[in-house]
Amino acid sequence: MNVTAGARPGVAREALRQAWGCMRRWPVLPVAVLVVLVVAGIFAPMIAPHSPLKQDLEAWRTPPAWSADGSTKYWLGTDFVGRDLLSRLIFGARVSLMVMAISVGCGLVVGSTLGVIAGYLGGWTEEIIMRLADVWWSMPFLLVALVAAVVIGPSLGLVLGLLALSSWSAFVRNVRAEVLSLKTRDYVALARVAGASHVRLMVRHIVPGVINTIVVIATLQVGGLILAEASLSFLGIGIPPPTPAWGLMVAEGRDYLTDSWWIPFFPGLAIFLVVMSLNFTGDWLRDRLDPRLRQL
Amino acid sequence: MQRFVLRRLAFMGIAAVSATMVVFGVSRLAGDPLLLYAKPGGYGQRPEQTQALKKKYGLDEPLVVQYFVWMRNLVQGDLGRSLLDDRPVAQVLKERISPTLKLALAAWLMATLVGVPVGVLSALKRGTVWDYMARGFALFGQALPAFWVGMMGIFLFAVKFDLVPSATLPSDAPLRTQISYIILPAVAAGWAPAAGYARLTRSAMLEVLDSEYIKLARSKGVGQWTVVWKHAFRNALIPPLTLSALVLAGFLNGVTVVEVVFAWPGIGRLAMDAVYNNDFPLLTGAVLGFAGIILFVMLLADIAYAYIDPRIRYR
Repeated sequence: MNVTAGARPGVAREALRQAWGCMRRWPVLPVAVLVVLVVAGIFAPMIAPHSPLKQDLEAWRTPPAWSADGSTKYWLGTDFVGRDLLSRLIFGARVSLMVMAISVGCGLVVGSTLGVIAGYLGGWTEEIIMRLADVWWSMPFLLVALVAAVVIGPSLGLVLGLLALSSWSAFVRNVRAEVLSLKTRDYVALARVAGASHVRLMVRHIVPGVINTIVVIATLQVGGLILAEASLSFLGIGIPPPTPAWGLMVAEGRDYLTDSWWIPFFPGLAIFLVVMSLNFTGDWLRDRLDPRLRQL
Repeated sequence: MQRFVLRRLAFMGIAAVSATMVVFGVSRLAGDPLLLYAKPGGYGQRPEQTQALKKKYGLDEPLVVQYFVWMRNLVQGDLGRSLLDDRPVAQVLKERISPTLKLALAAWLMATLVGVPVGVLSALKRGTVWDYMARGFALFGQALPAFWVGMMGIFLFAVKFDLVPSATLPSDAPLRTQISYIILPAVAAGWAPAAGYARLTRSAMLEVLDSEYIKLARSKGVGQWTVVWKHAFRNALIPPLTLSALVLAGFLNGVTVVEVVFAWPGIGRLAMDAVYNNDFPLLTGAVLGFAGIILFVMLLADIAYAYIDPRIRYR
C-alpha cells in the first residue's frame, strides 16, 4: 500500500486488487462465458459471419486467421469441406441451450414433483418412487442411448428426450431429502391445523422451501448433460450431421487431426469452457444457497 | 453380512433378468427380425421361404415362448451369429472383453491412485496454492470431454513429441510395451472419475477434520500423521466409496468413447461398429456383455462398502 509513490500506479493497483476481490467473491468469468453462450445461441443468425452449412471447397481446411496461411475471412479457419468454424461454433451453442432448457427443464419439473410427492406423502408412494429412481440412477445411460439410436434412429429430439430421462432422478433424491426435513417444521403443522389441503400444503408451503435445492441441482446437472450430449454426438448416435453440434464437429475433425488441429480443437474447447463455467457457477450457487448439498 | 450379500445377489439376479427382458423386448421392437435377412418380397424371396425362415428361427411361436427360447440359448452361451461376418456373437465378445477390462482397470487405478490423494492434499492444505491446484485438477477433469482429451493427447504426445505409440494395442506384446500403449487412453478415461474422487474425498476429509473426535485426538497430543491417516482418512473414505456408483456410471461412457478414439479393440468399439453396420445380434450381445460387467462391478463395490462401513449392512 504505497500511497506516496504517485497516484496513477496506486489507483491502477487498487482497481486491480478490487477486481481480483470481486472475481474471488463472484463467478465473474464463468457467468461471462455463459452470457456469451446464451447470446450466441439466441442471435446466431445475426452474429455468425457465414452460414454454418455453406461449403467453400476452395478454402477447405484454412487455418485460423493468426497463422501464416490463415485469412481474416474465416477467423477460426474452415473445416474439411470449407465451412466456417466460427459460424458453426456459434450455431452449435443452440444445441447446448436446448439441452439446458428442454432436457434439464423436463427433468427438473418431473423429478422435483415426484420428489415433493414422495417426501410429503411417504409410505408406499415414496417407496415406489424411490425404488424407481434408484433403478434409473444405476442404469447405464449409454447402453440405452445405443439401442435407442439403432431402433429409432438418431435425431435431435431423441437426444433431448434421453437426456431428460437421465436427469430426473437426481432431483427426486435431493428434493425428497429436503422435503422430509421441511414437513416437520412448525409452520407446516400450523398450516395443516389451519385446514390447508395436501395440495395447498405442498404447493404453497413446501415447494418454496426446496427451490434453492432445485436451482443448485439443475445448475450442477446441466454441465454433465452437455458433456453427455457431446459424447453421443461424437459417437455418431446423437445429433445427426450436418447440424452444427460441438461433439459432432470434434468427431468430424478426427481424421484431420495431424495436419488441421483447429478443426477438432475449437469445438472441444467450447464444450470445455461452457461445462467448466456451469460447474463453477453451480458450485458457487451451492455454497451460497445450500451448503448441505456439498457431497454432490 | 451374509444376509446383506444374499440380498445384493438376489437384487442382482432380478436386475439381470430384467435387463435381458429389456434387451429382448427392444430387439423385437426394432422390427421383424426377418427384415435383417431380407425385405419381404425382396431378393426374390417367396412366401414359402419366408415361412420356412420363420419356422427355422422359431418366429411363429408366441413372444413369451420366443423369450424363453432366447433365454435358454443365452444361458448356454449362444447369442446368435453376427450379420456382417456370420461369426458366433459369443466368440466375438470373448475376444473383445479382455482389452476392455485392461483399459477399465488401468483407468480405475489412475482414478483412485490420483484422485484420492489429490483430494486429501487439497483438504489438508485448504486455501493454499496446493488446494487451488487440486481443485483445478478436479474442475478440469469434470469439464473436459474424454474424447477431446484423448485426441489432443494423441496429437501432442504421439504425433508432435512421439513419446508414446498411438496405434492399436498388440495383444501379445510384453508388459512394458502394453503399458506404454495404455497410458494415454487410461488418462483420457480416468481423469473424470479421478476428479469425482478428488472432490468427494476433499469434502469428506474437510468434514471429518472438523469433527469433535479429531479435535480430541489433537488435544491429547496425537501426531499430525496419525491424526490424518489413521483417524481422519479412514472415516473420510466412506463417502467417496459409497457414492462411487455415480463415478462408475460415467466411467462406462468414458471407456466407450476412449475406445473409439484410440481404436481400442474392446466391447465399446464393438458396440459402436455394430451400430454403424446395423448388426443387431452383435449389438444385443455387446449390450448384454456391458450390462453384465456393470452388474458384476456394482455387486463387488456394494460388498466392499458393506465391509468397510458396517452401517450399510443393516440399512
